[in-house]
Amino acid sequence: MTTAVIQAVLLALSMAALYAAVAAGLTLTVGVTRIINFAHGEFVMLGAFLTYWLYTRFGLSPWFGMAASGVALAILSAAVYRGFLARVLKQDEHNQLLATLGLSILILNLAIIAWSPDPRVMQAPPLLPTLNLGGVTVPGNNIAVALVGLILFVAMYAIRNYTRYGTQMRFASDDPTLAAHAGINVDRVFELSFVIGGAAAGVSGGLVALVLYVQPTIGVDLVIRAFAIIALGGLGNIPGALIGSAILALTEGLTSTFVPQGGSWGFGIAFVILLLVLVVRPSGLFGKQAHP
Amino acid sequence: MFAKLGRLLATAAVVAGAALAPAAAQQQQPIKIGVPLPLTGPLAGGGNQILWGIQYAADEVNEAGGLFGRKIELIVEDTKGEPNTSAGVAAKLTAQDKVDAVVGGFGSTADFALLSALQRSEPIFVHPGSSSVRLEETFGKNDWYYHVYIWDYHRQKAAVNFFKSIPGVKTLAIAFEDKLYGTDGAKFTEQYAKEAGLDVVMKEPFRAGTPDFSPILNRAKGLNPDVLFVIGYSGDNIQVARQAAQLGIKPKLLVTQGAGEKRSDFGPAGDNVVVIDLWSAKQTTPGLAEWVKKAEAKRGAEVVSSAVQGYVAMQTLTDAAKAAGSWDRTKILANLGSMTFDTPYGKVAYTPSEMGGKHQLITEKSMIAVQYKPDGGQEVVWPAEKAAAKITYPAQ
Repeated sequence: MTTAVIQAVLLALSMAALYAAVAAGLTLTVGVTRIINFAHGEFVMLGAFLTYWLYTRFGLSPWFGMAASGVALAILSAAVYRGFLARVLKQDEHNQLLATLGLSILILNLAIIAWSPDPRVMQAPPLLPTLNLGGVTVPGNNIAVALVGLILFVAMYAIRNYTRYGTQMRFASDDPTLAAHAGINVDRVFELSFVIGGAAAGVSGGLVALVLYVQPTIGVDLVIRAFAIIALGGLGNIPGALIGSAILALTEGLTSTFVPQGGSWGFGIAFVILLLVLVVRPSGLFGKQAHP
Repeated sequence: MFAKLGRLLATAAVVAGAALAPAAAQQQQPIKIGVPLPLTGPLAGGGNQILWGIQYAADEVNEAGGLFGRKIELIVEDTKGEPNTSAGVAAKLTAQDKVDAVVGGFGSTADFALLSALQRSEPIFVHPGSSSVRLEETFGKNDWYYHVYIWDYHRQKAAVNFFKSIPGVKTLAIAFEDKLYGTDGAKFTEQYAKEAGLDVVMKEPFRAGTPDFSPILNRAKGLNPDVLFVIGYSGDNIQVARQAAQLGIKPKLLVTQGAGEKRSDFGPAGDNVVVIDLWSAKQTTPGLAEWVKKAEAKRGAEVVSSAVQGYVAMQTLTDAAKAAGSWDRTKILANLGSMTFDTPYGKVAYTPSEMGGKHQLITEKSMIAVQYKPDGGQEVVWPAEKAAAKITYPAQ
């Protein structure tokens, strides 16, 4: 029984790392720009496709694929930001929501038309050796996901808290008008955070290709979880999102393992916890409470 | 006298010519077949495969001179797999294009809307896709409705018949996606398994597209069933096999329901996995190897099961029309209901089905089990009359 619990917890934590990786970029973007980017899931999907193709067509290592996907999605994010998001940012926030939702649907449908909805599997050898310890097995790719997921989070945290741009991001996020008066190029800071978020989405797409399959719709469920995670952790709070990922994945994984019919309940129960947390703390576990 | 007779004959010829002209013109007009299918959206993969099969069958007839000298013209419309679009497409095909028959439909929810709109005009309708029993119960009794693809329970009957055929199989664990497709599949599987004397030791749902099957796999590992049967979509089937291999969990036999995935998608994780499917290019059906060779040469790629569904739908319609000798709706419908067709599935006929359908072509009797071999290939292992190899059991 103990082995089963340890196994379930470790696998749930590796899923937490995958969810965290997907949520990492979104946390930064939402926290700074307040843009609810529905297309983040499609950015992840594009990163997954790119990693898959680089491996299957050119034999390039998934490590390289992840890095290349990060760069490619950073460039795409810059184009998206400059192309229309920068303009929409100045409009009503409902327009922002509709714009990113429209972009999400557009990318998803173009991907289905271009690549078909069929799943593809990257048959790469495991990036790291499988861990076998006292009856507990954690596949090497799950360990790789956990490592990269953590590195992404640490990178996001470091950028936001220990760099000059990070200081400007926090300032611009708190009060864009005041930041502009202080000489900060708010538009440039917003763009940079959107680009970093896009790069993180690209890398996490590579992780998806590693442990899941690659399909145009693969980002849809993941982005729902990512939104839940950042709401749970507190909008824009990076450590909060990491803890949110662990809560969501552990709830899902342990319910699925130990509750009969838990495969259906797990996802729902994770969201019940989210709702309860938001009822008690509307700003999430670690978000700043709004003062009346 | 002769001059008057000549004028009369000339007049008669002109009148007769004028009267016959529309009929002759009609003889030359193409036979219009409406083809509503999801060509974009989530169901586009299957929709495009079915379209290829329909087009291939129509091309064969046209290259041979058409039907009674008339070419077949396909009027292809994209339903997007959406109910509203499907209803609009149905109205266009019948009211504007005035098609002679409809061959199409894929995706139960959208097809419910399509058929609801079509039933006002009652066209000859040959349905290559969709398996929801609700369609059978609602439209299956109509004289104009012919259904090629299996209904949900046929698949489950075939699966249980396959399990029963393996010596020593007594216990069954079922993992199923938790929406209509999976829950219906699990319900019917459990029912037929109990009737067959099999013990269902696990019945666990999962969310389609879930990244983590380890809870279900670990539970199955503890129960050690003779068969672990997964009812999911293609991505789920692949992910279960992959995670089982990664975690070192080795069920005695992992069986999935074919949902469009390919052997190569599984890689080594697919070794000895069995897929319950409708058709395989490798099944030992008389004449099939030659048909596959020709079709794959035309396609320039592998011909998959859903393409065969489309091909057979169109083939049965054109065979019935050829036997009628002209485009006579009553005769064609009668022929569709009474003829036996020589198809890539073998010799099949439209017969009544269990939940009220009057014209069902493929049943559990046509279905097969394919086992993925460790050399990267695959072989049909069940039923005996279509099998090209023996099953490896236990698989691990």
